[in-house]
Amino acid sequence: MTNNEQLIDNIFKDLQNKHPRLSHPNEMIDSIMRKIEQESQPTRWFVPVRNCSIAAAILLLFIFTFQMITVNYATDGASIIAYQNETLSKTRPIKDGDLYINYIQKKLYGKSSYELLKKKIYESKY
Amino acid sequence: MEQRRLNSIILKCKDGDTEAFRLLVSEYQNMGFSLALKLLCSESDAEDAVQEAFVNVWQNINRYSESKGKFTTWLYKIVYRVCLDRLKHKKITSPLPIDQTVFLTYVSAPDPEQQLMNSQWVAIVKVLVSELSSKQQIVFTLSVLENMETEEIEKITGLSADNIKSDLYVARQKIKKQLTRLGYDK
Repeated sequence: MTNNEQLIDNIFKDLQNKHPRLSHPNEMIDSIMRKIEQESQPTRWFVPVRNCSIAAAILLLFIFTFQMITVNYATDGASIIAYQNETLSKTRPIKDGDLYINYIQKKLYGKSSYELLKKKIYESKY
Repeated sequence: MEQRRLNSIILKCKDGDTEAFRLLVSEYQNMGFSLALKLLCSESDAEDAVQEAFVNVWQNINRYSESKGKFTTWLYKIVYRVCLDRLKHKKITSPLPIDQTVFLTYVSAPDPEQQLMNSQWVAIVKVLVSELSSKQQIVFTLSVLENMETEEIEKITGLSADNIKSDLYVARQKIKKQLTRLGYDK
Protein backbone atom coordinates (compact mmCIF):
# COMPACT_ATOMS: atom_id res chain seq x y z
CA MET A 1 0.00 0.00 0.00
CA THR A 2 1.44 3.37 -1.04
CA ASN A 3 1.61 6.36 1.25
CA ASN A 4 -1.23 8.01 -0.62
CA GLU A 5 -3.47 4.95 -0.30
CA GLN A 6 -2.72 4.84 3.41
CA LEU A 7 -3.78 8.46 3.77
CA ILE A 8 -6.97 7.84 1.84
CA ASP A 9 -7.75 4.88 4.07
CA ASN A 10 -7.20 7.08 7.11
CA ILE A 11 -9.68 9.61 5.73
CA PHE A 12 -12.23 6.88 5.14
CA LYS A 13 -11.74 5.49 8.65
CA ASP A 14 -12.18 8.96 10.09
CA LEU A 15 -15.36 9.47 8.08
CA GLN A 16 -16.71 6.09 9.28
CA ASN A 17 -16.47 7.32 12.86
CA LYS A 18 -18.43 10.47 12.11
CA HIS A 19 -22.10 10.57 11.29
CA PRO A 20 -24.32 13.34 10.03
CA ARG A 21 -27.05 14.20 12.49
CA LEU A 22 -30.41 15.87 12.04
CA SER A 23 -30.41 19.56 12.87
CA HIS A 24 -33.95 19.41 14.34
CA PRO A 25 -34.65 15.81 15.41
CA ASN A 26 -37.83 16.64 17.39
CA GLU A 27 -39.35 18.51 14.48
CA MET A 28 -38.58 15.54 12.26
CA ILE A 29 -40.33 13.15 14.67
CA ASP A 30 -43.39 15.43 14.92
CA SER A 31 -43.56 15.77 11.16
CA ILE A 32 -43.38 12.00 10.64
CA MET A 33 -46.01 11.41 13.33
CA ARG A 34 -48.35 13.96 11.73
CA LYS A 35 -47.93 12.21 8.39
CA ILE A 36 -48.65 8.74 9.73
CA GLU A 37 -51.67 10.01 11.66
CA GLN A 38 -53.00 11.49 8.42
CA GLU A 39 -52.30 8.16 6.73
CA SER A 40 -54.01 6.23 9.54
CA GLN A 41 -57.25 8.19 9.51
CA PRO A 42 -58.71 6.84 6.26
CA THR A 43 -57.59 3.36 7.30
CA ARG A 44 -59.46 3.72 10.60
CA TRP A 45 -62.72 4.21 8.65
CA PHE A 46 -61.88 2.00 5.76
CA VAL A 47 -61.67 -1.28 7.70
CA PRO A 48 -65.12 -1.13 9.42
CA VAL A 49 -66.77 0.22 6.26
CA ARG A 50 -65.20 -2.56 4.21
CA ASN A 51 -66.31 -5.22 6.71
CA CYS A 52 -69.88 -3.83 6.81
CA SER A 53 -70.00 -3.80 3.01
CA ILE A 54 -68.88 -7.42 2.81
CA ALA A 55 -71.45 -8.46 5.46
CA ALA A 56 -74.24 -6.56 3.66
CA ALA A 57 -73.28 -8.13 0.33
CA ILE A 58 -73.34 -11.65 1.83
CA LEU A 59 -76.72 -10.97 3.49
CA LEU A 60 -78.22 -9.66 0.25
CA LEU A 61 -76.91 -12.65 -1.65
CA PHE A 62 -78.37 -14.97 0.95
CA ILE A 63 -81.79 -13.26 0.82
CA PHE A 64 -81.80 -13.26 -2.95
CA THR A 65 -80.88 -16.95 -3.18
CA PHE A 66 -83.40 -17.93 -0.53
CA GLN A 67 -86.19 -16.01 -2.23
CA MET A 68 -85.35 -17.49 -5.59
CA ILE A 69 -85.54 -20.99 -4.15
CA THR A 70 -88.86 -20.24 -2.41
CA VAL A 71 -90.43 -18.61 -5.46
CA ASN A 72 -89.31 -21.46 -7.72
CA TYR A 73 -90.68 -23.98 -5.31
CA ALA A 74 -94.00 -22.12 -5.00
CA THR A 75 -94.24 -21.67 -8.76
CA ASP A 76 -93.46 -25.35 -9.32
CA GLY A 77 -96.08 -26.30 -6.74
CA ALA A 78 -98.70 -24.07 -8.37
CA SER A 79 -97.89 -25.51 -11.81
CA ILE A 80 -98.25 -29.04 -10.53
CA ILE A 81 -101.61 -28.22 -8.94
CA ALA A 82 -102.83 -26.55 -12.12
CA TYR A 83 -101.61 -29.49 -14.20
CA GLN A 84 -103.19 -32.01 -11.87
CA ASN A 85 -106.47 -30.08 -11.79
CA GLU A 86 -106.51 -29.91 -15.55
CA THR A 87 -105.64 -33.56 -15.99
CA LEU A 88 -108.13 -34.71 -13.42
CA SER A 89 -110.90 -32.59 -14.81
CA LYS A 90 -110.22 -34.04 -18.27
CA THR A 91 -110.01 -37.66 -17.26
CA ARG A 92 -112.73 -37.70 -14.63
CA PRO A 93 -115.41 -35.02 -14.70
CA ILE A 94 -116.03 -33.52 -11.30
CA LYS A 95 -119.31 -34.59 -9.88
CA ASP A 96 -120.95 -33.94 -6.54
CA GLY A 97 -120.32 -36.84 -4.31
CA ASP A 98 -117.21 -37.99 -6.04
CA LEU A 99 -115.16 -38.66 -2.95
CA TYR A 100 -111.89 -39.34 -4.66
CA ILE A 101 -111.87 -36.08 -6.63
CA ASN A 102 -113.00 -34.15 -3.59
CA TYR A 103 -110.19 -35.68 -1.57
CA ILE A 104 -107.57 -34.79 -4.17
CA GLN A 105 -108.92 -31.28 -4.63
CA LYS A 106 -108.92 -30.65 -0.92
CA LYS A 107 -105.39 -31.95 -0.59
CA LEU A 108 -104.16 -29.84 -3.48
CA TYR A 109 -106.03 -26.82 -2.20
CA GLY A 110 -104.48 -27.30 1.22
CA LYS A 111 -101.01 -27.67 -0.23
CA SER A 112 -101.28 -24.63 -2.48
CA SER A 113 -102.73 -22.57 0.39
CA TYR A 114 -99.81 -23.62 2.52
CA GLU A 115 -97.36 -22.60 -0.22
CA LEU A 116 -99.12 -19.27 -0.67
CA LEU A 117 -99.06 -18.64 3.07
CA LYS A 118 -95.35 -19.52 3.26
CA LYS A 119 -94.56 -17.20 0.40
CA LYS A 120 -96.50 -14.35 2.04
CA ILE A 121 -94.65 -14.88 5.31
CA TYR A 122 -91.29 -14.72 3.60
CA GLU A 123 -92.27 -11.66 1.63
CA SER A 124 -93.50 -9.84 4.71
CA LYS A 125 -90.39 -10.89 6.59
CA TYR A 126 -87.94 -9.40 4.10
CA MET B 1 -31.38 -0.53 21.04
CA GLU B 2 -31.59 -3.89 22.76
CA GLN B 3 -33.04 -6.58 20.47
CA ARG B 4 -35.78 -7.65 22.89
CA ARG B 5 -36.93 -4.08 23.40
CA LEU B 6 -36.83 -3.45 19.65
CA ASN B 7 -38.97 -6.56 19.03
CA SER B 8 -41.49 -5.42 21.61
CA ILE B 9 -41.67 -1.94 20.01
CA ILE B 10 -42.10 -3.45 16.54
CA LEU B 11 -44.93 -5.67 17.84
CA LYS B 12 -46.67 -2.63 19.30
CA CYS B 13 -46.23 -0.78 16.00
CA LYS B 14 -47.82 -3.72 14.20
CA ASP B 15 -50.84 -3.26 16.50
CA GLY B 16 -51.04 0.38 15.41
CA ASP B 17 -49.40 1.93 18.48
CA THR B 18 -48.19 5.33 17.27
CA GLU B 19 -46.35 6.07 20.52
CA ALA B 20 -44.22 2.96 19.99
CA PHE B 21 -43.55 4.14 16.47
CA ARG B 22 -42.45 7.51 17.83
CA LEU B 23 -39.78 5.66 19.85
CA LEU B 24 -38.68 3.79 16.74
CA VAL B 25 -38.37 7.00 14.74
CA SER B 26 -36.51 8.72 17.55
CA GLU B 27 -34.03 5.84 17.74
CA TYR B 28 -33.36 5.35 14.03
CA GLN B 29 -34.00 8.69 12.32
CA ASN B 30 -30.35 9.77 12.48
CA MET B 31 -29.26 6.47 10.96
CA GLY B 32 -31.66 6.95 8.04
CA PHE B 33 -30.66 10.59 7.70
CA SER B 34 -26.96 9.67 7.60
CA LEU B 35 -27.46 7.40 4.60
CA ALA B 36 -29.90 9.76 2.86
CA LEU B 37 -27.57 12.74 3.21
CA LYS B 38 -24.62 10.82 1.80
CA LEU B 39 -26.65 9.54 -1.14
CA LEU B 40 -28.56 12.71 -1.98
CA CYS B 41 -25.95 15.31 -0.98
CA SER B 42 -28.64 17.73 0.16
CA GLU B 43 -29.82 18.27 3.71
CA SER B 44 -33.40 19.20 2.82
CA ASP B 45 -33.75 16.32 0.35
CA ALA B 46 -32.33 13.94 2.93
CA GLU B 47 -34.87 15.14 5.53
CA ASP B 48 -37.73 14.64 3.06
CA ALA B 49 -36.41 11.19 2.14
CA VAL B 50 -36.22 10.17 5.81
CA GLN B 51 -39.81 11.29 6.37
CA GLU B 52 -40.99 9.35 3.34
CA ALA B 53 -38.99 6.31 4.41
CA PHE B 54 -40.49 6.28 7.90
CA VAL B 55 -44.01 6.65 6.50
CA ASN B 56 -43.19 3.59 4.35
CA VAL B 57 -41.91 1.77 7.44
CA TRP B 58 -45.19 2.49 9.24
CA GLN B 59 -47.27 1.33 6.28
CA ASN B 60 -45.26 -1.86 5.81
CA ILE B 61 -44.30 -2.73 9.38
CA ASN B 62 -46.55 -5.81 9.24
CA ARG B 63 -44.40 -7.20 6.44
CA TYR B 64 -41.29 -7.09 8.57
CA SER B 65 -40.33 -10.12 10.60
CA GLU B 66 -37.11 -10.98 12.38
CA SER B 67 -36.60 -13.89 9.98
CA LYS B 68 -36.08 -11.37 7.16
CA GLY B 69 -32.97 -10.04 8.88
CA LYS B 70 -32.00 -7.14 11.05
CA PHE B 71 -34.45 -4.27 11.40
CA THR B 72 -31.68 -1.80 10.55
CA THR B 73 -31.00 -3.60 7.25
CA TRP B 74 -34.72 -3.45 6.43
CA LEU B 75 -34.81 0.25 7.30
CA TYR B 76 -31.68 0.93 5.25
CA LYS B 77 -33.31 -0.85 2.32
CA ILE B 78 -36.34 1.42 2.53
CA VAL B 79 -34.23 4.58 2.85
CA TYR B 80 -32.04 3.38 -0.04
CA ARG B 81 -35.08 2.84 -2.29
CA VAL B 82 -36.57 6.23 -1.47
CA CYS B 83 -33.21 7.87 -2.21
CA LEU B 84 -32.84 5.91 -5.43
CA ASP B 85 -36.24 7.18 -6.61
CA ARG B 86 -35.19 10.72 -5.81
CA LEU B 87 -31.83 10.29 -7.54
CA LYS B 88 -33.62 9.25 -10.74
CA HIS B 89 -35.30 12.65 -10.86
CA LYS B 90 -32.35 14.66 -9.65
CA LYS B 91 -28.67 14.43 -10.41
CA ILE B 92 -26.13 15.37 -7.80
CA THR B 93 -24.64 18.68 -8.78
CA SER B 94 -20.91 18.83 -9.43
CA PRO B 95 -18.81 20.08 -6.52
CA LEU B 96 -18.29 23.81 -6.44
CA PRO B 97 -14.89 25.38 -5.69
CA ILE B 98 -16.12 26.04 -2.15
CA ASP B 99 -16.89 22.32 -1.73
CA GLN B 100 -13.35 21.52 -2.82
CA THR B 101 -11.99 24.03 -0.32
CA VAL B 102 -14.05 22.45 2.49
CA PHE B 103 -12.86 19.01 1.42
CA LEU B 104 -9.19 19.97 1.27
CA THR B 105 -9.40 21.73 4.64
CA TYR B 106 -10.85 18.55 6.14
CA VAL B 107 -8.39 16.10 4.56
CA SER B 108 -5.37 18.20 5.38
CA ALA B 109 -6.09 17.95 9.09
CA PRO B 110 -8.85 15.50 9.98
CA ASP B 111 -9.73 15.77 13.64
CA PRO B 112 -11.15 12.50 15.01
CA GLU B 113 -12.68 14.33 17.96
CA GLN B 114 -14.56 16.89 15.94
CA GLN B 115 -17.90 16.04 14.35
CA LEU B 116 -18.57 17.37 10.88
CA MET B 117 -21.45 19.70 10.16
CA ASN B 118 -24.02 18.52 7.64
CA SER B 119 -22.89 21.12 5.13
CA GLN B 120 -19.31 19.82 5.47
CA TRP B 121 -20.58 16.28 4.89
CA VAL B 122 -22.34 17.38 1.73
CA ALA B 123 -19.20 19.09 0.41
CA ILE B 124 -16.95 16.12 1.23
CA VAL B 125 -19.27 13.51 -0.28
CA LYS B 126 -19.83 15.66 -3.38
CA VAL B 127 -16.09 15.82 -4.00
CA LEU B 128 -15.56 12.11 -3.27
CA VAL B 129 -18.32 10.84 -5.54
CA SER B 130 -18.10 13.42 -8.32
CA GLU B 131 -16.33 11.02 -10.68
CA LEU B 132 -18.38 7.92 -9.75
CA SER B 133 -21.35 6.37 -11.50
CA SER B 134 -24.55 6.17 -9.44
CA LYS B 135 -23.98 2.45 -8.76
CA GLN B 136 -20.40 3.04 -7.68
CA GLN B 137 -21.56 5.93 -5.50
CA ILE B 138 -24.12 3.71 -3.76
CA VAL B 139 -21.64 0.90 -3.17
CA PHE B 140 -18.96 3.32 -1.97
CA THR B 141 -21.38 5.09 0.39
CA LEU B 142 -22.70 1.89 1.92
CA SER B 143 -19.36 0.11 2.13
CA VAL B 144 -16.91 2.87 3.00
CA LEU B 145 -18.91 5.72 4.50
CA GLU B 146 -21.52 3.58 6.29
CA ASN B 147 -19.03 0.78 7.00
CA MET B 148 -21.35 -2.06 5.98
CA GLU B 149 -20.45 -5.66 5.23
CA THR B 150 -20.79 -6.90 1.63
CA GLU B 151 -23.54 -9.31 2.71
CA GLU B 152 -25.64 -6.44 4.09
CA ILE B 153 -25.06 -4.36 0.94
CA GLU B 154 -26.23 -7.32 -1.11
CA LYS B 155 -29.48 -7.42 0.87
CA ILE B 156 -30.03 -3.69 0.59
CA THR B 157 -29.17 -3.15 -3.06
CA GLY B 158 -29.82 -6.57 -4.57
CA LEU B 159 -26.38 -6.46 -6.21
CA SER B 160 -24.19 -9.55 -6.23
CA ALA B 161 -21.08 -9.72 -4.02
CA ASP B 162 -18.82 -9.76 -7.09
CA ASN B 163 -20.45 -6.64 -8.51
CA ILE B 164 -20.15 -4.89 -5.17
CA LYS B 165 -16.46 -5.74 -4.89
CA SER B 166 -15.64 -4.67 -8.44
CA ASP B 167 -17.65 -1.43 -8.12
CA LEU B 168 -15.92 -0.68 -4.86
CA TYR B 169 -12.50 -1.29 -6.38
CA VAL B 170 -13.26 1.03 -9.33
CA ALA B 171 -14.72 3.64 -6.98
CA ARG B 172 -11.58 3.62 -4.83
CA GLN B 173 -9.34 4.00 -7.89
CA LYS B 174 -11.41 6.91 -9.18
CA ILE B 175 -11.37 8.62 -5.78
CA LYS B 176 -7.61 8.19 -5.59
CA LYS B 177 -7.24 9.86 -8.98
CA GLN B 178 -9.67 12.60 -7.95
CA LEU B 179 -7.63 13.35 -4.82
CA THR B 180 -4.40 13.47 -6.82
CA ARG B 181 -6.06 15.84 -9.27
CA LEU B 182 -7.11 18.09 -6.38
CA GLY B 183 -3.53 18.24 -5.19
CA TYR B 184 -3.89 15.83 -2.29
CA ASP B 185 -0.81 13.80 -3.12
CA LYS B 186 1.45 13.73 -0.14
